[in-house]
Amino acid sequence: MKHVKTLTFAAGVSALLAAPAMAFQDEGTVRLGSTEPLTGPGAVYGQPTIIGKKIAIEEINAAGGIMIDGKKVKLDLFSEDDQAKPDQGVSIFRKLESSDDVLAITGTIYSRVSETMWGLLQKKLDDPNDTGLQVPAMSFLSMKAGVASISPWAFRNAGVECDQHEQLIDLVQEANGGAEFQSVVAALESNEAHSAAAWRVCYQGSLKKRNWDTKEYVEWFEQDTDFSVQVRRIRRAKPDLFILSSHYQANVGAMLEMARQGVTPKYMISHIGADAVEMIDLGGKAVEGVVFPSTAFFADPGVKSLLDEYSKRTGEWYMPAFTYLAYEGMYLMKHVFETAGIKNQPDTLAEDRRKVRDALASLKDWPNPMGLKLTMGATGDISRPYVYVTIKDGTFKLWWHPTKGYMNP
Amino acid sequence: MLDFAQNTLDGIMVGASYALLGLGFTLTFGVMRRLNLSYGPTIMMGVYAGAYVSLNVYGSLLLALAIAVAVSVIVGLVIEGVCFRAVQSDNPLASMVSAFAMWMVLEEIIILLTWGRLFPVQNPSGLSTFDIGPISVRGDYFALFVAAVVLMVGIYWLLFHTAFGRKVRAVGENRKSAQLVGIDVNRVSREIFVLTSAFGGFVAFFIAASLHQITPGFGLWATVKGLIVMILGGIGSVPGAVLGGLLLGIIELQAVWYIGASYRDLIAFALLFLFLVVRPRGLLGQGERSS
Repeated sequence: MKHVKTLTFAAGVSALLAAPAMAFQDEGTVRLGSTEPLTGPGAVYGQPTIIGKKIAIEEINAAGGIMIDGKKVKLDLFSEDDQAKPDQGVSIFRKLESSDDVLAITGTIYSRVSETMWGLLQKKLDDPNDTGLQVPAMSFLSMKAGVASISPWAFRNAGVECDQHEQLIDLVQEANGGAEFQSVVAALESNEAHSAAAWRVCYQGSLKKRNWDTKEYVEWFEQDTDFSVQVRRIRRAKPDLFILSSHYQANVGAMLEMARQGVTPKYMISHIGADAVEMIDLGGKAVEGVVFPSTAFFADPGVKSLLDEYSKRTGEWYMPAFTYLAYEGMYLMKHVFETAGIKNQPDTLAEDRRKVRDALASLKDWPNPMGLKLTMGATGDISRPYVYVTIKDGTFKLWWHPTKGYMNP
Repeated sequence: MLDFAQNTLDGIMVGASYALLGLGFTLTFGVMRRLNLSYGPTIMMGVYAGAYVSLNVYGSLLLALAIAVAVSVIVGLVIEGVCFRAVQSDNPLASMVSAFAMWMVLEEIIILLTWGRLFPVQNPSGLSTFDIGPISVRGDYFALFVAAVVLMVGIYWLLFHTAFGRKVRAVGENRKSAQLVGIDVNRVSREIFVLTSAFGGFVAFFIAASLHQITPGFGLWATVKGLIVMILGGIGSVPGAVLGGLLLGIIELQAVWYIGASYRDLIAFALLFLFLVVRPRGLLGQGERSS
């Protein structure tokens, strides 16, 4: 009996040790890493993102999976929770790369965490002296300008932020009859990396290009609770263009105070941080009129099936654009895995990762689930058409569309 | 000059709520001789519960407020039991660390239940303002100020003109002596937790209403403000907490106007540091007492 137990134990251990050899193509899966803040304060972004990913993966697998080397395999997501902490992100990134042997790593949300994780990557392609990690990495948000330029292995599908702001300023000027604004006022959420970079790298560049000075400039913090002093300054400047480089958490409080003090700029523009249902839930009428960029408007017919499924799972009527970006990202990975010529075997992992990187870097005119053609830029960012969304009558509405023009001016 | 006056008035309004947060910390410390670091998250839990019911079950301001107070009291009693009564160590650090751990637990519970979402909190006075000459006053801040003054007067009366207050002060003066004269020290501790949690939940609800929202960061915000006020006013001093709150509110608002919002917290912490070095007893504190 003792021998039987010993043999059973030995067989079990052998099976466990042999498991990696059975992985990948032979077990009918292709491994994809994923990291988001699923708990902690960043979960507000991480949860809608992972839902977008899971919906796409379930659709892909239900349709048979991914065709690799003549065989359909299932997409197997190795999901981790980085809690929006850079140090945790680094550990997860290393684990996914070395222990989980994933083909590519998707995520994360916060620019500061993506920057830290991607700092592990090889900086110079094909440089034998550069011993950085060689695994394709792609974020579906991390909006901070220039984040994907960290490494030739890093990519992003959320678009180029400065392009969004440049285009939006052009559009509001056009909507203003082409006239210059008499009083441009800006507000910066100065303790938030994305907002600070958007202001310093994008908005300031756009204003300088037009020789526009801000008549008033104020700062606040993401967690601020009182905006009365800043808004008093804004009120005195009588802005006709108000730029908010700030997320919804502070936007709501500031805009409520603006309504209280009777500040009504002709145009109010914000970055993607205004893309949150809380703007309406908490801000009510005070936030009406703000315009912000988006990559996928939730009411677009191209995202309807995703919205329906997202609403079913969450009970939410609104779906943020980054849920779509994560969903799109999974289909992008499917496309790249299918076309890169990979073998999906343990001993070809390094070679496969390089093929996936090269396929991502050379992506051209890939038709995304909305039917738009996407191309990867030299900086690792996908250039894409943007829509601009406003809040009107208690809901989000398209303000400008690339083919339809101004819709709710 | 007008801006200085406006900032001062706004600072007094904001400072009144800071004062009540500081009062919660100082009363607990005065009786327990231990710092309750989970006070902020406790009252945050209450407001989240009230906001949740108002949003999903029945949209009543009074019901939301009642639930906020009730849940704050329940969570406060759990904290008292788990972090203070159960941790019998003479080292005050043990309770402080335990309360800190509970802070993290409470915050994570909120985040797990809500994904860290902000919940709307109904503001009864909306966006109304009224003018006193050239100075503008927010309706909700004024209501908060009046509520804070009434509460502070009530707490002062309770502490200095009732039998309960005498017990509280006796325990605060010397825990062992109070026990020797027959005061049920554990009961007084529990009652102080009920009292501070109840008015904390009440004030937190009105602060959240003035912001139109409750966020998972509220616990940290309330803790930082409360601790600074307690140190500025003097640990254990009720009038000191009031003065400390008003001082902090005025200095913050003036700093934002004259120096910039980015320096507001820096100045608040510099002030705290200055007090700790120059006047560690705070404005009206009585210094160290034996326990």
